[in-house]
Amino acid sequence: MNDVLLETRGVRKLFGEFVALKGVDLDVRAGEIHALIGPNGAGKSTYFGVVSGELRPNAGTVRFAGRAIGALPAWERTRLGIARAFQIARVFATFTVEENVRAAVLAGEQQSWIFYRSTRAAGGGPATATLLAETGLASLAASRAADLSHGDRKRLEIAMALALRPRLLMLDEPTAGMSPPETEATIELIRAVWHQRGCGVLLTEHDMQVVFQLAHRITVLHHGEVLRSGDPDAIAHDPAVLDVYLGRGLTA
Amino acid sequence: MLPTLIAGLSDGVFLFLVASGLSLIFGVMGVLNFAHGGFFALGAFVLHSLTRGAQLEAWQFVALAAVAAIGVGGVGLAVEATVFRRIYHLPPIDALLATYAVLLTIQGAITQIWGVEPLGQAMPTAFLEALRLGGSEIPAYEAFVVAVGAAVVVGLWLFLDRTDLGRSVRAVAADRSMAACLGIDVRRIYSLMFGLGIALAGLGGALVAPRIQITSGLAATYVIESFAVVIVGGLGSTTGALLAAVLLGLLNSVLVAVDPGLSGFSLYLGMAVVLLIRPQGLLGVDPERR
Amino acid sequence: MRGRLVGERAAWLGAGLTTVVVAIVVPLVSRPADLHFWTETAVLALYAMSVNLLLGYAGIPSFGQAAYFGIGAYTVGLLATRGLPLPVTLLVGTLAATLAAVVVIRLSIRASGLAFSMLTLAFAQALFTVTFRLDVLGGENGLVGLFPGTVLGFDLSRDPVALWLFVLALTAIVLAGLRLVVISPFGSMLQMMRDDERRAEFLGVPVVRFRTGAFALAGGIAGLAGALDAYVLGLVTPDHLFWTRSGEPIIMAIIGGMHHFLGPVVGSVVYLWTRDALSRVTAAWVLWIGLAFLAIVIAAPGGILGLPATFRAWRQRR
Repeated sequence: MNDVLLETRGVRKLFGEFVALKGVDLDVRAGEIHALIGPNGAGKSTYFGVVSGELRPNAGTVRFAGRAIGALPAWERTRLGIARAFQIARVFATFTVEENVRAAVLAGEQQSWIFYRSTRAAGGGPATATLLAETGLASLAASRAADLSHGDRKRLEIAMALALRPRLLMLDEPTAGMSPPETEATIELIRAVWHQRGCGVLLTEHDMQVVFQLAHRITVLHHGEVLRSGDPDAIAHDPAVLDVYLGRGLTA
Repeated sequence: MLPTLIAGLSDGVFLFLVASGLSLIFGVMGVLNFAHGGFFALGAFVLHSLTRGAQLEAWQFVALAAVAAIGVGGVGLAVEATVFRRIYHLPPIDALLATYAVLLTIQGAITQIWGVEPLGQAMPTAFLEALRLGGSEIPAYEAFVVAVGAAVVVGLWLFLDRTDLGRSVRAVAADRSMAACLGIDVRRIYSLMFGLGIALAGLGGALVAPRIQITSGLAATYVIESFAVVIVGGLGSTTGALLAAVLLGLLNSVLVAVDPGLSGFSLYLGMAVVLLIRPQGLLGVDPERR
Repeated sequence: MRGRLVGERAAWLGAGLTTVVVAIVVPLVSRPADLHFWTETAVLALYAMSVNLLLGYAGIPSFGQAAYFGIGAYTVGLLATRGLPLPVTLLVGTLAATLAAVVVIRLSIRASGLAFSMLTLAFAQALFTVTFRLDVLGGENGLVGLFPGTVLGFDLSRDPVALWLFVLALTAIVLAGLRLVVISPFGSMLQMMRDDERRAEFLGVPVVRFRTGAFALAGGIAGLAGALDAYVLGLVTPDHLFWTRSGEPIIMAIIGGMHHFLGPVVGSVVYLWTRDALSRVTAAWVLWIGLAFLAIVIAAPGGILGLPATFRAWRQRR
């Protein structure tokens, strides 16, 4: 449980003159739900980008399961077991829900190279059906992804990430823009996923209720630096953290 | 050496006249315009109709070339109003294909009007002479073309840098919606710049007419060469287009002096090398730093 | 599920039967000149299909496919004049074009969008200018006197019907293979990369290799089409490499419909037939082709096969 799954040390990222990350040290342990919080512009999305391979850090190390991955392209990191969902869900709009998930399943099994038989004959059907049931998308299987509601689209993206059988699931604001019932369902989904698969989860979130319901540990980013890292109780009562959130009432 | 340089420069001027308009249109409207070569060819044909191909006095030739350029610019305005306004919103590649369709249409229209036989434009006598410069002889027409190129460069610079209208143009190029918020009539700027860019292409075509056989095939050849120029210079950068046109023109004339068989090759070589090393072109903006 | 499988089988069967019917009927109703026209159409349809694999399916905006078409044609020009048999020349032409495509895509992998289009165009034009000036390639006049010779006992050089059947059969086989590719996991991944390449990479897909694969495949098929074209015309000239030869198959694909598998086939038949008919009447045929192409790009971007969808969308807006 206490094995470190993701370990970053001194991660710096500059955009021109602007220092987005000033040297971030952060550990995510295997099998924990870890929330990364902080005000807008704190560097959460940049950090996600650096870990998932979208952005190259200017300095620092990124290690995953004991291996330095800082120089690997995004697709290789995904194959090592890092799967991510985006803040604004990115799914393949002209394909159906079922096709989206099946493509992810085949990609996870490294079968996307198969060019000599049809997708339907290539397999992945049972795994796709299981995932659709698990994420509550079975009834929407034949809908085009473009026609989905915002919440369903985010759900579909989680299904696609799960199809890759990740060891670390990265969720960028999983409940952003959702109605209260949708938010509740997403919390349930994340908890169920974690329970069944035991994978590590790293998530960013603005909704503190969601954070405190889910997270085992919380890291607060502020101005591109780690302000505090600790269990939810300690974070909720930390004066420095409260100061950053300026009386917004962290647990409210 | 000097004649080679002047020949290279005058080649560069033709490239620049087409490429500068192409670059202005891309810079302001974001459309890479295949049809540009069509307007270039149109310039040569219109001039031929005005002169009937005859050998005129130099001043008459120059005046009619200007008339041809303005006429082609007018056609450009009409095409902008009827066609281009419908394609600005398309994704870049789709817009590119639409302009390709316009190129074909212009080529067809040229064939319809002027037929398929190549036409010849006589060079005014005064331009046939050679100027003595530092012990070497330079064809007068090439010197004239270089002078026209310099005048266009200065004129464009004055216009874009020193006039209110020019400042509006640069504002629209930098940020269309912001410019609209500032009360600039974006649509009018579009028409204006399109007309200007097309007129420059028409001028290029009129000026090249005495040096070549006038056929509708000019359109396809020159548009690709001017693509090479704007790509090398950096899409949307008119200064870059100038620099690239001069460099490529010089490179070509040097290569041709080495081996005539290498004519034309330098353009594509330059284009490929620049794109590989510096995909945004010599003076283009790196998209990641925007 | 079962119903869809049966439907797919029926479609394959229908396509096969249609091909056989076309193969038999066309020579029966055509005069020799017309048969030559249809043979050329089959070749150019194959070329347009390869271009559409990139443009329509993978969203790779190449504007320089004439390079691979021309390489295939010139390979035949070089080898057939030295007495090598047709199968060898077709194979070498296809491989040479594939190899060239791999080199070009590896070099231009950093570019995207318009810059990529222009880079592919630059390579093709560079090849065009070189070809024009190489004596071994016949310079401006190209290489002439290319005869397909005898295949399986049929004299393709003398018998236009045999040449037609050979070209059509080869085209049909390659199209069947392409169909399989398009509906395979590889093919769907190409289409997903077209929609959102970054997203595909976060599925653990090495998108650069997929793009390379698609470009190589399209280049190889373009090479095969070019090789066949050299035999059908009996010659190869620098014109095979001129940039308008990259544009033509794009026009065909758009006219027919880029997002339908057989769009380029429909487009090439319509385009070539119209061009043929118009050019008998007027030298300015390109004017009408240009206007029609313009109308399609602006008003019906789905092409002919996309017309029902375009019409539905139009009625919904009313």
